[in-house]
Amino acid sequence: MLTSYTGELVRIRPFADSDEFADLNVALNPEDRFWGQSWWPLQRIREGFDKHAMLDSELWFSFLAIDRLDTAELIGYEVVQLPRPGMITAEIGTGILRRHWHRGFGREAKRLAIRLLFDNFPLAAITATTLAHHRRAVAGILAIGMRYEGAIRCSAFSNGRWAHKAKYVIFREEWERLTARTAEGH
Amino acid sequence: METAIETTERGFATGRHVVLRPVLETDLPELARLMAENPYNHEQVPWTYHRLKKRFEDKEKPGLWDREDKTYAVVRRRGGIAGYITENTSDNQMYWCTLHIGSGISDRDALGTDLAAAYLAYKERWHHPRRISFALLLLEDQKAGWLTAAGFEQELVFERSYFHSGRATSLAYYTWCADWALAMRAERHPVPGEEDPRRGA
Repeated sequence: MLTSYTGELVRIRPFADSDEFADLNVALNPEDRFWGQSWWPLQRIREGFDKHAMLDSELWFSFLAIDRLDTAELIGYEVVQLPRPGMITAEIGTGILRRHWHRGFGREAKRLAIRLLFDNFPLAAITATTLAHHRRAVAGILAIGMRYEGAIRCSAFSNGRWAHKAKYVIFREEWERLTARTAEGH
Repeated sequence: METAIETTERGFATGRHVVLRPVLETDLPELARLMAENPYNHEQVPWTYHRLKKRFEDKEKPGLWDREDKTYAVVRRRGGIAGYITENTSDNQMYWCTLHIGSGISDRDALGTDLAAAYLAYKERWHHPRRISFALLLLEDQKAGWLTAAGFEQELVFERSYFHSGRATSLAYYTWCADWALAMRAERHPVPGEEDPRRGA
């Protein structure tokens, strides 16, 4: 299984001890005004990292590091869901430190994660979930070719109110058509 | 002296035909069969009696019952296990469930409809739920009918997301959402653009 993918702007790869995953997790949290405070105690995150290095089929979500290619900085994580029993879809998600926003790093990291999952597993589709009112996240998901699949009503609490989560999907054949077109464009 | 109280068939919820209660050791042989025949059970390998018994005796989750994950036996009022519900709640007031009634049971529809209504009534009475979702394969028309009759709506179809009987099949969520949660969202906190998540920023 390939675990590192390199694009034009970023690379995704497994986390190493030296990356201080727990600190990154905490650093990302207060920058998100949509999902609220959600990080666990540092000790618990570190214990989780020591056990699985955040990449294991036992985990509901695994995490890969996102590095900028131009500065070699660790700028966030890409969430990848390894296949679960019976399921032929898997989910991705992205967290980027605020100072690296708006430069296309997150979108490329998502594309690399989709490639990683389709290359390595017999999956029919990749999905993504965000809050339905989180327009920046929605824009990023749509920009990589995913389409809206539906809403899970009142399934999150965000800024003092119940919020819907929105689900997005891209099927393998859609992804292959998209990447073939992109390759032709180049 | 004979005891008049049949405690083992007392449940949390009582419908016209069924009661819901925790699983007993004597249920395990039939429960394992029911779990193995359920087309949507999120398991890599089928349930067997011995495997289920080990899970039932797990020291961390004895009785297939802990704070987050619960299995309810669905028992006929006159006795005998007919099905089960699994319930997961990692988030307060939000429940993710599956259900099954034995496929060969002649009054399956009556039991299933009763089960869905009894479960919802129980949760509303004691747990102040915000939302309850049942996941099932889209092809499970009977289950969809039970849930719809009890007030659940088809919320979302996950196209070609599950491998069953040699082919990709779709999953569906049938969901009940509390009016108070929907009202709190819609009336007090409107967010521009939220009404159309097909559009981004």
